[in-house]
Amino acid sequence: MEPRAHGSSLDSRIYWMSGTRPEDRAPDEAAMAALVVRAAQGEPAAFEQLVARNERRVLTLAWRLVGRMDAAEDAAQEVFLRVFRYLHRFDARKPFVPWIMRITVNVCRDVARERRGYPDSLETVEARSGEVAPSDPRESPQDVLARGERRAMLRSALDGLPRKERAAIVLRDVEGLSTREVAAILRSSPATVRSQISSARLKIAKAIRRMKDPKS
Amino acid sequence: MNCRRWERWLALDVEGDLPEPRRGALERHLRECEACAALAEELGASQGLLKSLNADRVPDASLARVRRDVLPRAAALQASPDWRLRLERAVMAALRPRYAFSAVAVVLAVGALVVSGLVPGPAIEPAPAPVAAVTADTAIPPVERPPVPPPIESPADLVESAVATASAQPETAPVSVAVNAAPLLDPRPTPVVDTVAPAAVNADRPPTVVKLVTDDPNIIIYWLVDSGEGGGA
Repeated sequence: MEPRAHGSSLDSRIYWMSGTRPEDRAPDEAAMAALVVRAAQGEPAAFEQLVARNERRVLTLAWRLVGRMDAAEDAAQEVFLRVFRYLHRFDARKPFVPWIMRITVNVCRDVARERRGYPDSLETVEARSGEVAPSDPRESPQDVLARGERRAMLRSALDGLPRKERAAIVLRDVEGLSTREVAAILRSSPATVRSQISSARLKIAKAIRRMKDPKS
Repeated sequence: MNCRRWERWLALDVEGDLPEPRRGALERHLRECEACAALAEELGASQGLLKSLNADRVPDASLARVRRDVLPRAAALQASPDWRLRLERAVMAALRPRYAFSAVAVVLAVGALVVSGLVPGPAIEPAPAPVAAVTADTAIPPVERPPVPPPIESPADLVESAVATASAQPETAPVSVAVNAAPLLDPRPTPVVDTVAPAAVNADRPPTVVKLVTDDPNIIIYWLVDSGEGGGA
């Protein structure tokens, strides 16, 4: 379906909803805000584009938070349904991505509580889907094996973290958000997030040390 | 040496989260403590590994599955939203979101209060009084009942009986005898029979006799009410 043409009326509606002039926002953010407004008005194509723009981010974060790809797919579906359902609650003056990431963290918390299991490695996920990423031609088979082993150790260490610490470290160190952004997503304070990531980093480093040398 | 505090600082410093004034102290400690220096190296390595996870790409097949399932479900939700969602959307559309959310919350709260006031709740029955059940393995011996007094023929006989009872007691105060003739769970008030000193009875006018019948056929209570000054009893 072709998206309806929206001219100045849409811009004025975004301005009315957000209090921010469209030209003052980052281009991607402004485009996302326009999609949100149109989707909230019930335009299916706009919602479809919102899903397309955010699905990889949501599914990847869900996979990192719950560990299993099948559970992550279910979580991602639930995230988009909640987005659709509560789009009218979204404050369009604020950026959309932190909002959808907060929903993802909340949904994954519920999913992880219900479904626990051994985490899927990238290799397992790739083998299951039949999509294997091309490896670096400079890497020897031994290097590839060692890298896979280290990543498996890391996933196992991540899986052993408490839920809040895991969410904090995934958002901060894997997603690369700032401590303040992580605190906003987790509805926590920067001091609490610093404490959580400090604890999580130490646990991961020590868990990897133990896996490498069980006597240590 | 207990390096727990330094370890926490190290874990923050590895990504630049440690405030500047503490970094100097940490660097001085690292020059002196080999264990912490080794941990700093391990933290650097594990952080590098953590960051490498960012390059992981989820398979396109998984993305396609999510999209394939979400869009029809969203369309179904759009076609038939429930009444709460419709109401909320209508209010939100009319108001700015941040005010509308509070308004919806207030409307729902007031509505809930009104409904809870209008709809009568289920009748609450009083909890039954505790009943003591007594069981005995052996036969209970029959209880000896006190001898039943002969029926009183007339008010004069009743007065005589009362005088006889009162004379057996000290004369200084009237005697009150409470007779609990009702069974344990009977909510009726306990009848009270007061016998009074003979001087209180007006001999000129016969007293009114109130006959109280209890559940026990062997117990009948007569209440003499003096119709003269001073009331009954």
